Amino acid sequence: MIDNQPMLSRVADSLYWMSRYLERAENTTRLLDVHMNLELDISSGLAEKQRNQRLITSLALPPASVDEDLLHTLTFDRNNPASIFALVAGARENARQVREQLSSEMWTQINKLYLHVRGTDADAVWQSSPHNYYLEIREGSHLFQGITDATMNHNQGWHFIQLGRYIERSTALLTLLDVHFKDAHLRYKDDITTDRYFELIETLKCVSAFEAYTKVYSPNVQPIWIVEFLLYNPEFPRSLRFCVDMIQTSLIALSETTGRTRHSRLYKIAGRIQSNLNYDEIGDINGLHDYLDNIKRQIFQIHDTLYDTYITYPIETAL
Amino acid sequence: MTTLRTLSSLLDQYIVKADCYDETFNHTNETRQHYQSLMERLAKFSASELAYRQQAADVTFLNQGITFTVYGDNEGTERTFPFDLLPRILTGKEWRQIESGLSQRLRALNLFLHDIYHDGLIFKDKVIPYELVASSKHYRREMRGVNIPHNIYVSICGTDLIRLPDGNFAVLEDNLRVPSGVSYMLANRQVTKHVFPRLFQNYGVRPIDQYAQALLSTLQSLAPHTDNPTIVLLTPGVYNSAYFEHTFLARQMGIQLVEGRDLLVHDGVVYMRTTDGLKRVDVIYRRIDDDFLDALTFRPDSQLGVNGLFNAYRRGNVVMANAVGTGIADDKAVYAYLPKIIKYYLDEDPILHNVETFLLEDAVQQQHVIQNIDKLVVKAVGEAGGYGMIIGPHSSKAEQEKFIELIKANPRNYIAQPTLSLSIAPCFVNNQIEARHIDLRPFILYGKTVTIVPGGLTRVALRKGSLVVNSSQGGGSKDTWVLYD
Repeated sequence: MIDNQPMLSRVADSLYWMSRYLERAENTTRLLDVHMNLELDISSGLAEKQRNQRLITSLALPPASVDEDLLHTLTFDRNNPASIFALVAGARENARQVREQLSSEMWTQINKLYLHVRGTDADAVWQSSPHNYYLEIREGSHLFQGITDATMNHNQGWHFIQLGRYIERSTALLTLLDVHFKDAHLRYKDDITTDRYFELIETLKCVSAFEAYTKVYSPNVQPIWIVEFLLYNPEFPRSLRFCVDMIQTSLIALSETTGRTRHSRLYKIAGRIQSNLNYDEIGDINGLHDYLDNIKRQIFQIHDTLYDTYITYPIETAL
Repeated sequence: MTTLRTLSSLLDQYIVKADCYDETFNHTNETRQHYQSLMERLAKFSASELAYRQQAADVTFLNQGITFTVYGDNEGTERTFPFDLLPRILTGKEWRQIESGLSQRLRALNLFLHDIYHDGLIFKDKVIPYELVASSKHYRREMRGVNIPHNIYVSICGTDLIRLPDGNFAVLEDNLRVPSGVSYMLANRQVTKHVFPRLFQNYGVRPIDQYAQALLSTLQSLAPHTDNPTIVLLTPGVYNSAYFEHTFLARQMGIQLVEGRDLLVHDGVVYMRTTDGLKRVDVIYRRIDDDFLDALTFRPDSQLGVNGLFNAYRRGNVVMANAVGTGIADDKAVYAYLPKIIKYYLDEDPILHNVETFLLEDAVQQQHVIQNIDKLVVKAVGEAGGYGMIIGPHSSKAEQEKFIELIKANPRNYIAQPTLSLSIAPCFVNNQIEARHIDLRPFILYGKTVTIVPGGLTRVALRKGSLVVNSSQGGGSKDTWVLYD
C-alpha cells in the first residue's frame, strides 16, 4: 500500500522550528566563539563595549541586552530566549512534540545534545575552554543534520526541516553582513590594517567561510570580495545563493507532494531572489544596507507565505 | 515445601500462602500442569542467567522509550514500566470462561448505556435507582436522546479481573472510558519472545499481535457514512501519562495521531488541519476524558479538546470511540448493580462474578463499613489508577479517620469492598523467584462483533506483600500466555 498520508500542520510547524532553533543555536556558538577569539588577537581595535554591541546586533538582539557577563548569559541563561541553552532546549522540545515523526536516531541525538547543555559539568567545561564547548555543540548539531539526512524519509517533513534550516541561515547571514559591512566602502582595492585584517577574517569565520573563501580568492581579504562570496557563491553551503537554492528546491518538492494550488506565490518570491542573486553583480550594489534589507524582507515573506499556505491558513480558503 | 525446594534453589524464598490462590502450585505444592515446562526450564537457569535476561529486557524497554509519566512527581518523569520476566499462564479452559464472561458483560453494559440515555426502562422497572445514575459525576445529561451508530457505546474496554482464593475469576472493575495498558501487553509479548525464544516456541501460546488490526477494524465498523473512513487517534499530548501508548497505537494502525488543536469544527463537521488543506475526520478514537472534549459543552477551561466537537457528534457527523457518557457504567456504585443489569437485559446469570460491594448511602451498610474500616478497602467511585483509595489492613489510624470523615461528608462518592487476596504468581525479584500478587486486564473490542485477543496485561504488585498493582503506585507487569487446548 502506498502511504500518501497528509501531514498535520502542527507537525510541520514543530519540525520547522526544531530546525530553525538548532540552526540558530549553531550560529550563536560560532559568533560567540569568534568574538572571544577576537578579544585575544586585537590590541587596539574596537573598544570592548563596541564589540559587545556588534555581537548583540549580529545576533539580532535588542541593544539593551548587553550585560556584564554577556558571553555567559548568551550561553547558559535559561531565561534568555537567545541563549544557546534556551535554543537547544527549544529545538528539543519541538522534537519531543513530534517524536513519533522523527527517526529514533534523530531523537536520541537531539536529546543527547540537550542533556549535554543541561549537564551539571557544562559550565565547568565552558570555563576551562569556551572554544571546546562551542565546538562540541556545533558538532552535535552537525551530527543531527547528518543523521536526519541519512535516517529520515526525505518526505514533506524533511523539506520543512530543510526550510527551517535555510531560512534561519539566510536571515542570520544577512544580519551579519549588514552589521559588519554596512559602513564599509566596497572598493576593489583597500589598504587593510592589521587589525582590520583580523576583523575581516573573523567575519568569515563567523560563518565558517574562511577556508572556502581562500580557495576562491586566495588569502588576500577584501570586504568587497567577502560580500560577493557570501552573497553569490553557488557552492558554499552558507552563502545566500546556496540557501535560496535549497529553499526553492524544497518549496517545489512540497508543492508537488501536497498538490496545493496556492503555492505559486511562494516560489515566485523565492524565484525572484534566486534570479537576482544569479544575475546581480557586486559592483552594481548601490547602498549595501538597502540591498540586504530588501532581500531580508523577501525571505520573511517566504516564511509568512509558507505559513499561510500550509500551516495557519484561514479555514474558509481550505474548505 | 519439599517439592518446591527441590525444583530449584531460586525458589528458596517462595512462600506459598494458604489464604490466596497460587497460579503455579496447587495446595500440595505440586506444579500445576500448564506451568510444568516453564518451571522445569527455569530450574535449569542460574540466578545470574536470569538476571542477564532481565537486564536485556529492561534495556529493550528503555531504548524503545516504552515509558509512562508519573503525576505529582516534581521530576515530571517518564519511567519505564517494570517488567517481570516470568510469564503468567492461563489454560484454554480458563480463558474460555473469561472470554464468555467479558463478552456477556460488555453486551449488557452497552444495552444499559443505551437504555439510561433513552427510555430508562431499567429505572421504571426499579432495578436500579435513577438517583444513583443521575448523581454520578460521569453521567452526561447531554447524551439524553442522542443516537449513535449501532448503539455501541463502549467499543474499547479494559476490565480488571482478580482471582479469588477458590480459583474463580471475579471482576474488580470495568474501565469503560479510556482504558490504557494495551501497548504494554503487546510490548511484553515482544520482549518475552526475544528473551525466551525456545521456551516460547514450544509452549503453544496463542498470538496477540493482531490487536492493532482488530482495533482498526472495530473503529472502521463504527463509521456510518463511508467505506473508507478517516480515523484519527485524539491524544491530550506529550504530557499525558499514556502518550507512549497513543503514539504506539497510531503507528501500528497507520492513522494520524492528533491533538485538539489539530482539529476544528466547521458547520458541524470535524476537520483536521494538514499541509494538504482541511481533511474531514469520520471516526475519532479519543484518549481524552469526556470533561475535556469540548469546551463549549463540557469544562470551559479545557485546552485539550475541540470547540464544537460535541455538536458535530450529536449530529452524527463524527463517531467517537468510546461514546460520550460511558463513565457512568464504571462508576463503582453502579458496578454493584452489574449482576442485576446482566439479568435484566440478557436474562442470563453472570458468568464472571462481582466482588462484594457495600454502598455507603445505605445507613446499615455505612455503619458496617465504618466499624470495620480496618478490614475493608474503600474507594472513590469515580477514580481509577489506585488514586483515592484506602486499604484498611495497610493503613494508619489517621488515614482511616480521614476516610470516615470523607464517607460521612459524601457517602455517594465511596464504596467499600472486602480486602481481597489477589492470586499470587512467581516473579523474578532480588535475584530469586518470589511470590507476588497479580491481577489481569484483558482488552475487549466491540464493533460488528466482540473481539478479545487471548491475553491481557497481567499487573504485578512488585512490593513484597503489596496488593496494589497500579503502575502509578509501584506496580509492574508480565506477559500473559493463553494456551491452545
